[in-house]
Amino acid sequence: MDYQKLYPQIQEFVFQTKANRQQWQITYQNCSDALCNYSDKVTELIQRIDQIPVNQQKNLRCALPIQEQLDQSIILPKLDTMPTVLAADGSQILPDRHAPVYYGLINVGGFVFPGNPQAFPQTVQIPELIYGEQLENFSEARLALQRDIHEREMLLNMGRTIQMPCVGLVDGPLEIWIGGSHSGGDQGDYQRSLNTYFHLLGDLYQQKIGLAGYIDRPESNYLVRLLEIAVATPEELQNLQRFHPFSGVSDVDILGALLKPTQRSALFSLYSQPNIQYPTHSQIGFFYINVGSENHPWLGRVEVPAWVAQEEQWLNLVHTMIVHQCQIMGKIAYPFALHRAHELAVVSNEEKDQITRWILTEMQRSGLPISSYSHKQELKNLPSRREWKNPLGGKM
Amino acid sequence: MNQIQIGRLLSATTRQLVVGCQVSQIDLPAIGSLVRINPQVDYAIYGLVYDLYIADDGLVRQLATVGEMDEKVIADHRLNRSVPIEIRVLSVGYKMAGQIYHLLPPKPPLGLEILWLCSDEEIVEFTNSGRYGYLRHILREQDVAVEEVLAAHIKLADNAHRQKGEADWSHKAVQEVIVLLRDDYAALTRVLQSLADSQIFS
Repeated sequence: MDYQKLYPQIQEFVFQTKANRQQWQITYQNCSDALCNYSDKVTELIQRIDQIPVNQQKNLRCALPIQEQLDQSIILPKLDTMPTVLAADGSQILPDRHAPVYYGLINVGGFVFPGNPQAFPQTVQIPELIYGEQLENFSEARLALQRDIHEREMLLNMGRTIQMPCVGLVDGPLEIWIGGSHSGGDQGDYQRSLNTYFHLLGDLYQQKIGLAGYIDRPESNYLVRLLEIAVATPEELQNLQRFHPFSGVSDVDILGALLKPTQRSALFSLYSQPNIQYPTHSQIGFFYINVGSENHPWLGRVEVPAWVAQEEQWLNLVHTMIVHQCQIMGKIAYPFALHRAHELAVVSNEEKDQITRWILTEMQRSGLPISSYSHKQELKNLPSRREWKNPLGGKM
Repeated sequence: MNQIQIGRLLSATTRQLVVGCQVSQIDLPAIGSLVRINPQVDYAIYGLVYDLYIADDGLVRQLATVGEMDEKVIADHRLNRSVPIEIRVLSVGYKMAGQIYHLLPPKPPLGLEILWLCSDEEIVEFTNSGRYGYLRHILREQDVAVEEVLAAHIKLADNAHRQKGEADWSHKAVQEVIVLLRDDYAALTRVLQSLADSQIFS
């Protein structure tokens, strides 16, 4: 790295950031004022969204108020019993055409944190090797989609044997969505996966298993976008896709000052075209929650399906469960059960190498020809100067 | 005979063994315990536990900073997380074809062999063989709390011998230690102090 060439760019980067910060303060103030002005105009805002021209609705993603005021802070409910938490997280090995063998792997880790104080936590791991025809038209997004489906399947399977009430928890949004356009085979695959997902959501709903997706340090601006719509003139609504007066301000920026530790924000529905396709009972809603401390607020976004959002009891369970799970981790507030599921799911480089060697050994045993790394990868694998050991000993 | 399995071998030299076991293991051997590995049907390696190491990781360190901890979090760590306890063992002898030798084993055991805790009968059998020759393997170690391991071992072995009606075994063992350390007054003083602290002879 030529640090001398890089250093002026770092200085420029910091200078620009500082300059933008001053503009951001003004935008932030305007956005906060809008929140103040429109906080109790829930019905008016819902009507306003209905007025948005259809061609402007296509890519619109914003918060849709349900009932509570936009700036409402809801305190932590007091519950007699805690729900059992089921957490699932997945990781994957991406197929590598430079490796000696072409395969992928999805490993899903599941963690059960019982609500019963006498019971012990349980763990589950399900690895799935992906090879052959499964890798036709492979894309990273498809593998990620498969992983997400497996995570939800694991929640369902774990939940079937657990005493109620229990809440399934995944890392990230509940809305399964792949960026970009889907065409031909991709579109078909995507639709099939979506249908599988809808079935899973229906099963979770039928089995009375709560569901929540936790997004740490969210960068979303759904509420801010709603406020942009609120302040837009009828002419600006006609060209909403280009109307971003509060650009650079996120929901966390404006709610961070409002929510005290353990409090949640108002519940919103997610207005997006994909969400409209979801079964009514599973349409996605969300709220923000402050899992930080008095001096260090830390907001997460929690997504829940409609069957959780519409029942106060479910909502209280999810609210309490998230706070409790985050409190277990102390200052690095993040749901403990999700972290454990991640620990179980993650595939280290050493494990990946071990799996590759294992496959190669089995292939060799079966008399199959063995490939090697591509020349490009082999050259990259050569030890760097620092790692190289002098075979004759002594210092280099 | 009820055999108590401690863990499985992680690494070994002819002088030392490192064994891993789950944190949840309730039958953890105490320092100074006599343990055994059976690499073959007619071949057993004996060792003395001289250290136990409980590894940490980032999550444990983070959880330790939290004031009140949920019992389930502790249970999960001990039952489910793959963070083993490492038991370090000094090789002190072996048994081959029914004969016990207080010599280093001719070859170390291989990975994942099971480590067993020796019963009182085995302790008596091993310590009564020969003339306390195994004690020199402990005394020559540089990086081991020799006096503590020795005192703990003599106390445990004394208890086993007393069960068999041999009340003077520990006296003879200490006499042998004095002979072995006759040219190292400082070490001998430390060992005798540890033996006094262990209250074997009180």
